[in-house]
Amino acid sequence: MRRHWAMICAAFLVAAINVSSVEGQRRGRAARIERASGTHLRSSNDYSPTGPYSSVIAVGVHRVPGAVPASDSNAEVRAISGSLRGNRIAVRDSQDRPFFDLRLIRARIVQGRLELEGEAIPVTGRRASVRMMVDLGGTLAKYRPPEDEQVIARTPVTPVTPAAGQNPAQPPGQAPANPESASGLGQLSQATQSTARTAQTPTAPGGKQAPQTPPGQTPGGRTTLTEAITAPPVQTAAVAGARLGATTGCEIFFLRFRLPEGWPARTTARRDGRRPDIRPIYQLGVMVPSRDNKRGEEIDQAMCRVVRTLQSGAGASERLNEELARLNQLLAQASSAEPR
Amino acid sequence: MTTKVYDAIVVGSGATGGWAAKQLAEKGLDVLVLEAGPQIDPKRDYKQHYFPYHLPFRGFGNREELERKQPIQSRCYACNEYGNHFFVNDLDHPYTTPPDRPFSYIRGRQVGGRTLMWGRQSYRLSDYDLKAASRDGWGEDWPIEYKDLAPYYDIVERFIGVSGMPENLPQLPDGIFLPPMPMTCGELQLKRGVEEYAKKIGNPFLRVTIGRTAILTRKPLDDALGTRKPCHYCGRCESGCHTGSYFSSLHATLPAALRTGRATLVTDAVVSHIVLDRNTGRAKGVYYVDAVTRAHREVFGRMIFLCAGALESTRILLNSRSLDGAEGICNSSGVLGHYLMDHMMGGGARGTLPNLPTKPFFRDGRPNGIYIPRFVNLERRDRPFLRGYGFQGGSGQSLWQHAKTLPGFGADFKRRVREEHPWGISLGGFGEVLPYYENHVRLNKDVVDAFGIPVLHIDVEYKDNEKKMVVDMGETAAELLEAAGAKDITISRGPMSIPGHGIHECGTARMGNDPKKSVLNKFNQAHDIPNIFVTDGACYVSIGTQNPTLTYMAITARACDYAVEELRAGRI
Repeated sequence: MRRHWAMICAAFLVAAINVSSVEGQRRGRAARIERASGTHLRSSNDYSPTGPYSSVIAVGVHRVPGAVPASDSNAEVRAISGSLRGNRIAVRDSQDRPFFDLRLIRARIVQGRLELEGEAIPVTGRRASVRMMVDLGGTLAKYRPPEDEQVIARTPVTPVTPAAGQNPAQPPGQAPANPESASGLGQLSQATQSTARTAQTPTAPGGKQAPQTPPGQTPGGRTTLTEAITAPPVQTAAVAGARLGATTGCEIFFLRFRLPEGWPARTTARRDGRRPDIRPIYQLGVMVPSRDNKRGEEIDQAMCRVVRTLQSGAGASERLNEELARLNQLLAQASSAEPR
Repeated sequence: MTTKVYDAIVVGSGATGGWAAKQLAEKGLDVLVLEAGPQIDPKRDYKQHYFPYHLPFRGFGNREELERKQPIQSRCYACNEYGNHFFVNDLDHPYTTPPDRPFSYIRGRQVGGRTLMWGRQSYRLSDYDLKAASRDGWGEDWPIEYKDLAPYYDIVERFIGVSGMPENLPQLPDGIFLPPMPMTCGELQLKRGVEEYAKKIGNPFLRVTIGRTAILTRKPLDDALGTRKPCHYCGRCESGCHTGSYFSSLHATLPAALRTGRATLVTDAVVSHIVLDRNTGRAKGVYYVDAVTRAHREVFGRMIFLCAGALESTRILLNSRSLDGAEGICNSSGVLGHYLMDHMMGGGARGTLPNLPTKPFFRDGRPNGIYIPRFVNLERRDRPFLRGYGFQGGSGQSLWQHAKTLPGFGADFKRRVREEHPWGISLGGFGEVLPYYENHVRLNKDVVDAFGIPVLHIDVEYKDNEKKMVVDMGETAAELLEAAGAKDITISRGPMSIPGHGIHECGTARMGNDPKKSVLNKFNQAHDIPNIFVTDGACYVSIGTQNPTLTYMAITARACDYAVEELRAGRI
């Protein structure tokens, strides 16, 4: 009798898992059907729609996940993001909701990799903060180090013409404070005509009346785009950071960890009928805001120096210890300065 | 259960994916197109006719959001509030680099790929580019000549519509053009000045021409679709074009493929790897992750066309496993992932043209600039570096920036700001980066994207040749502006742009006749697995100075013709 009840319970459990899986897929299909059907709409300008007329929801044979080949681990990895301010990473889940804060406390090297010890502080609920370990999977550089830029800029060359109308972003013969500005010259020239960006000085100096355009003169152009693109380039905070010489060489970094015991995993979609992994691996992509974040940038720079030293290979152990000590010092300073 | 086997699976729906789908479907093949991103709805997604006051952040976008979600993408001029939804979220689609060796990997994942926001400049390569190694000894020649590509350039240009002016220059072959867009008077002044200067220095290659751009100035010569309209000059192409006036696969090649009834487009299909047949050793299909449901699926085809973008196609090959379990396929040569290139920028000059009248003449938006094709190191080595550069730029009137430097105040000052619009002129160089084995990508299995697929580790660095070139670009641009009578010239001799910033990344699965030195043969077919074709920028052997997309498309059309013949002959 007991066995009979156990079988009934098991059957219910399997059915529940299947139903929820089908439901997850149905939701996904509905979302995509909605998106696909949007292509039948006419444009706001009443031009005939010229896009592809249809797309198919999904084709092919269903496969069990985990077979992505080159990944050695079959564990599910969930990519989430966060931003480092001071020594605290504000972690957001895959739906961009606040997840928890990770306060970095200490760094060490384990098997040739940088491992960070942190304290996970929930942003909602009554769960207590817990210690956790994260390790560095990789880094992404946005800028060259300033010293490299200076080497290029110091190449001895003579200006052809003394520059009267200087571009404040790039003094003649020197590296622009913002590496974007020079390269933007080329990139922008591919866009709509590169017009107003070029002019810095008036052509009718001394308050003289400007000459009139003769009739039939070929005109220059103006567009709202030109206005937008000829304004200073979109100054993201990271670009502003580069202006201040705050390049680190590892402006974005990727950490890996498992959630502390008892913390609920967050997911966007049910994974095809698989039972969710109780403690999936999370990959946290961290960017470092450059506004009002001197401490965060220093910590990032110190981490980057450790990574560089690690990658420089053998014979660098003394330097590695120094860099690690400097990073730990910064983390300790940041921890002690942080309000409790 | 029987499983459908397509004649061809095309991975990617951008410039090359669209052409592969069109060519293969029109030749009677049953084609499946897999696109990693979502469908695009022009009514919802295009903002070309929005004014800044229509947008909450006045066109600049939410900078905090851009910095947090698109810290790399927002470095592209087009990734603003009008068009940042056409660019990927950098933390969902990450990659890694070594510290201090940045790479700007600018990507768009949607139906149409980056053709929705591309620069549209369309130039043919010449034998100066395709056989450059024979001239200067660096690297390898392409396995094809200009005459192999020319008929396919014709096919592509007739269909996409390229406006431009024939110049009869050997280093920049003329195409089949629609009427050119007019030059501004500043540009005409530059053209006259530069061409006189060219006579003076005895350089017959030096010429100023209007940009050759894939925008309709009238109906395209091959107007089989009949849906695209000539440009109405609103000027914000990279926000999307309701009239389909500039070429995008969304408005041109994909509809042409789909109307055959033999092409199927699947969106949100993130391809992870190619699956091989254990019996034949050939590709039998591809494996993809559904971006919406995260379901894993496998589809089957008789041949695979990788058109996902140079680095993405290489990533798919690197992430696939050969039958003996080794990581990476089509890599018996060991060069898969190597010889990554991009155009180097950062050298140029700008100035003013004070002799031109400053009365404003506001005529909206020519979506084009001027072009000065490469004229150095062609028939003789006249520069202290290998290869060369071309210039792109333009001349026009300042709209309001002159107010910052105009003297005075009060009513008279305001009147002058309104009435006196000075002419500016600028030239920016696009330099050829040499193919270096060390500039490479490989898989980083410690980091994955939002779909669990290992990401690329990109390791690129420009070297001495490029450092010398960027300085020369600035000096030469200033000379040309001076020859045109420009004043107040500001020279930019660098720093060099960050690799990737040109958004012309190419190489990593190069073509070649020798299977020991190349991944693909002269028809873009993998040496190792004959039913895999890679026809996007990955196939590049050397980058030249010309914007590459036209060549990507021509080379795709050529590979498709060959593949269909091979398939029909039973060799695939």
